[in-house]
Amino acid sequence: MRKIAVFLQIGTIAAVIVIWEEIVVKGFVDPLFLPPPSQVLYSFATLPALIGLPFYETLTKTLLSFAVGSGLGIALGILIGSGIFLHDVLYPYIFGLYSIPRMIFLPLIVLFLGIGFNSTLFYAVLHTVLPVIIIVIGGVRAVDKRLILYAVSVGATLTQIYTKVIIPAALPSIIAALRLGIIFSLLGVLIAEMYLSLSGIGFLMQKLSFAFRSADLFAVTICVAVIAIVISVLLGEFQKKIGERQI
Amino acid sequence: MRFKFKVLIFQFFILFLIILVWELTSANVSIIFLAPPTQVFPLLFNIWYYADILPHISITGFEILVSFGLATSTGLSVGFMLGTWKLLRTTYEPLLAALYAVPSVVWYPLLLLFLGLDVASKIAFAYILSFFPIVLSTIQGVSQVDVVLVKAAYSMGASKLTTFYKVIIPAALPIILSGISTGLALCVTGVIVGEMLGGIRGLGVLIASAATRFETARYFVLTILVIIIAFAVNYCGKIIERLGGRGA
Repeated sequence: MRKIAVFLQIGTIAAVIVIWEEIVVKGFVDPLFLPPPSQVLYSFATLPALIGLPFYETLTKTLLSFAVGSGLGIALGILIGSGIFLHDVLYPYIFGLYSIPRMIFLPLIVLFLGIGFNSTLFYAVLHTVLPVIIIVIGGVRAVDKRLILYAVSVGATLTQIYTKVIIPAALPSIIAALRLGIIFSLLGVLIAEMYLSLSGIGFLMQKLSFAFRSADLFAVTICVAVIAIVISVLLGEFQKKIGERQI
Repeated sequence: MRFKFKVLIFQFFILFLIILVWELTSANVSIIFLAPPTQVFPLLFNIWYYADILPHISITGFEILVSFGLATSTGLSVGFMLGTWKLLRTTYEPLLAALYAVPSVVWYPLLLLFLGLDVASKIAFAYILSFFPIVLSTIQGVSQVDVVLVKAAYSMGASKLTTFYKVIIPAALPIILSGISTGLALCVTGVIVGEMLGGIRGLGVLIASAATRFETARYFVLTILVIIIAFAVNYCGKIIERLGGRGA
């Protein structure tokens, strides 16, 4: 079963590439819009020169916004999740902000912080912090109340309750939040770069699209997609390992 | 009851604080950067102001509806097919999950190139965003149906079709509906993001152009409109989700 599935997966991908090549070569689609795979493969050769510098920039922005956004999100999530009154007051606001398309705030951020590094970073942090807060709040509120009650009854201080009970018990959801956070910060950085920016992968992709350099655009898109998939798979394995150790 | 009342008071206090800070900041910076709420709210309730906005609202609504309809119909049919056929599921579920992990906006420049600046590229982008949660939750819902229920239905002589309608769909419904609700919310995000990144019609285009022309009062009116639309759509999603709770 497993072997047949892997075989079928490879077969599907190969079939897609062959059909794609055929319809372009036979002239059903204009190669200006859909380049044949052979041409895309050819532009992979020039890819390092094309995306070297923008890639480094986008990576820096993503990691920075991930560090700030997830750190802030986890701290706020633990704080808000553990306070009943605080949670009831603030949760509708947080969830409301989370559930609207956050990109509508991007023009305002650009107006205040200017085009470039600062606005991209601010937007990506905003993009990361909200889902992280929501997941961590969920994890903290799911902590068994009896554990906390027991810790209080044996004389644990407030710091001990947080570090020895709440945070270890909420660890799986914190890891899940981190996994989602890195994808969200990459998404935020790419959106901000595509909207208004002068450098980075997002800017490069938008530029290639407007310049009709479709083969190069395909190569960059595939490259970014593969990187995102690899990050997500690695973090998924990490999450599984942490989960096993917990049990 | 008293606790709830206190929570409500604090929530209104926060809202009041936001508007106050907004007003005070806008008094100190140029109107190019921030229009004061005293200027935005009268515009928001001025019916004549919407004369040129209304067509764009209907375009955005049309894009949301079409992309959601396409994503739901294809997502459900593909999801049911993969969910009930084990070989197909083990083959294609990992591929779908991998594609879902890609930051969706990566696909947008390609879509702009293929489909142009008009409505089609927005519909396609919103479709990509909302197709994945719907199809993945349908697969999950169908494959989580208790095997005993299906076997019991077969042993009492139910046909494959009857089992599908009477057993599998009702049992999988809550998970599927929550996927559809997520998909609906993502449709709104997809359409607005797509319009803001490049387009010629729709609310997102208006927001981007208002901001680049430094018409901040107009920008805020449009932003509040988008927020209202998003809340309304999310409320519809909540209603859809509740339908399943009652069915199961």
